[in-house]
Amino acid sequence: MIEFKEVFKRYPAHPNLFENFSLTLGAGEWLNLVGPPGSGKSTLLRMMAGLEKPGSGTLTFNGQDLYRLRAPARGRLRQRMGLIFPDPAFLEGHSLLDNVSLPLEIQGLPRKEQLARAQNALQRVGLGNQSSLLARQLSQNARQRLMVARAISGYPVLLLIDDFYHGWPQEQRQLLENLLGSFHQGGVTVVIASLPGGNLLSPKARTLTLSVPAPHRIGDDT
Amino acid sequence: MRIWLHHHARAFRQAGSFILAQPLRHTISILLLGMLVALALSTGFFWQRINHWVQHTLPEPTLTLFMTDQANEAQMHALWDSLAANPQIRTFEYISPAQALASLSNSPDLAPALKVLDRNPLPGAFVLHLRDPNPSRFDQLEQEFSHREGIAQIRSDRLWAERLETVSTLAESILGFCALLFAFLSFLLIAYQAHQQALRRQGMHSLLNLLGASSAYQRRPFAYYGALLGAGAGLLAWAALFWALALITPLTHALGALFQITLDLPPPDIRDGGMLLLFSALGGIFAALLGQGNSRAN
Repeated sequence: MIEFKEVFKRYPAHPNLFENFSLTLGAGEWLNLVGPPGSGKSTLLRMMAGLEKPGSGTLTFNGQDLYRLRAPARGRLRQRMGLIFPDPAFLEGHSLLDNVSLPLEIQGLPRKEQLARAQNALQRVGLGNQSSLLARQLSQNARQRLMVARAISGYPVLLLIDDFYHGWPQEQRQLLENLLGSFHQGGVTVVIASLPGGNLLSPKARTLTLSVPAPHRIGDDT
Repeated sequence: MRIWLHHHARAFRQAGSFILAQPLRHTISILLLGMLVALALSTGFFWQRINHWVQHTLPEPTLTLFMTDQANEAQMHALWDSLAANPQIRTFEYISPAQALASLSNSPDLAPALKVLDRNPLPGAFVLHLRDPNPSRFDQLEQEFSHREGIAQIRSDRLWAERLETVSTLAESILGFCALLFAFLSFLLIAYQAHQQALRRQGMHSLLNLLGASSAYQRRPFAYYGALLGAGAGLLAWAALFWALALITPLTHALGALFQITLDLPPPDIRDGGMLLLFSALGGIFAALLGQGNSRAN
């Protein structure tokens, strides 16, 4: 499903973040990305989502070179992904139902189906009875669950999750684990980034450990 | 189709919410835009009316062909036919020597002198009114008729035509520049407002981008926003023009009465109003899309 081939990615602060990085991820696989802050977990997820272009190398999604596609085509591919990133952005003055149905509206689904799917997704994260509340009225934890609902409402083929569930009550962690497990069993590819030492949602799954690259020596670029 | 309509309805609601979220700012903006569009509109409108008055009140430049005393019937008829067939001539009239004498006799200064003459010294003349009173046309026609048999002399109002044309071109240039300037300022103001709205909604832009929304989906509310501002300004300008006409018309009538001419200011019709709204809204759309330009999907 996703293939990184000889990818290089660098930032001024991390000039050798990814060097000659290759990874193949099959459809329906579950991948744990484990690494400390600064190891490139979020960058890897953003590259997979088509939001951050690698410096060089290729990244293919279902055989298509993601960064050779034009922006609208890349946007359409992103509509098939569920993105759960740590910085939740919402339509603050709109209801939870409106927020969750937004990706479905962008996909062009009929309004009736949008609402049914959005209500179902809210139900699955335990926000079903609060669908008419405004997003800005939610607690931090509820906002994160709202983001999960938005990500799963479009029946994604790929779920990209950046570590955000630390500190969740055990009961809700279990709910999330069950939810992602059911999607994974349904053939959805799941990539979850976590900090080392955290409890992985699926410890037996394939795990890729990333480390913070060594500091760049002055003169390396010359 | 229903989805498409739903997307448009949502974009329209969003555009409305841009305006309602900052009511004071948008009220001032629409008033300012209305004034600018009204100034652009009224320069065009008043220029049109002034041009009309000038054409109908000032003496029209003409070309006069004075016939020789020996001009015979055949030459006169040939000339008549040639004038009638000439596409550059709008109308012409023949003034016979007797008509010319009668006209001069009405002048109290000349009448005593004319009475002592033993014969009518005045020639017959064709007075030509040109379709396009451009000075070069006068030269061209003068050249064309100067060698015709039966014509003794040609008197051309070329200089008068040239003065009128120069004044007209100057006024048209100044008013055209003002109209363009006001229209351009309106365009810039809408583009600036749309740019500000795009900056205020960068979070929304990032969210839509994250969800894979197309750039058309993201641009649509801004297009409606520009259309609403443009159409609002157009309506206001239309109202301002009618108000100005209501104030000015009695004054122009009074002025016309002093000069014994008709100075009418007929209001523009509903078709002109429709065109104004359409062009204001279209201009608003283009300006808003230009202003929003930097918040496209990556």
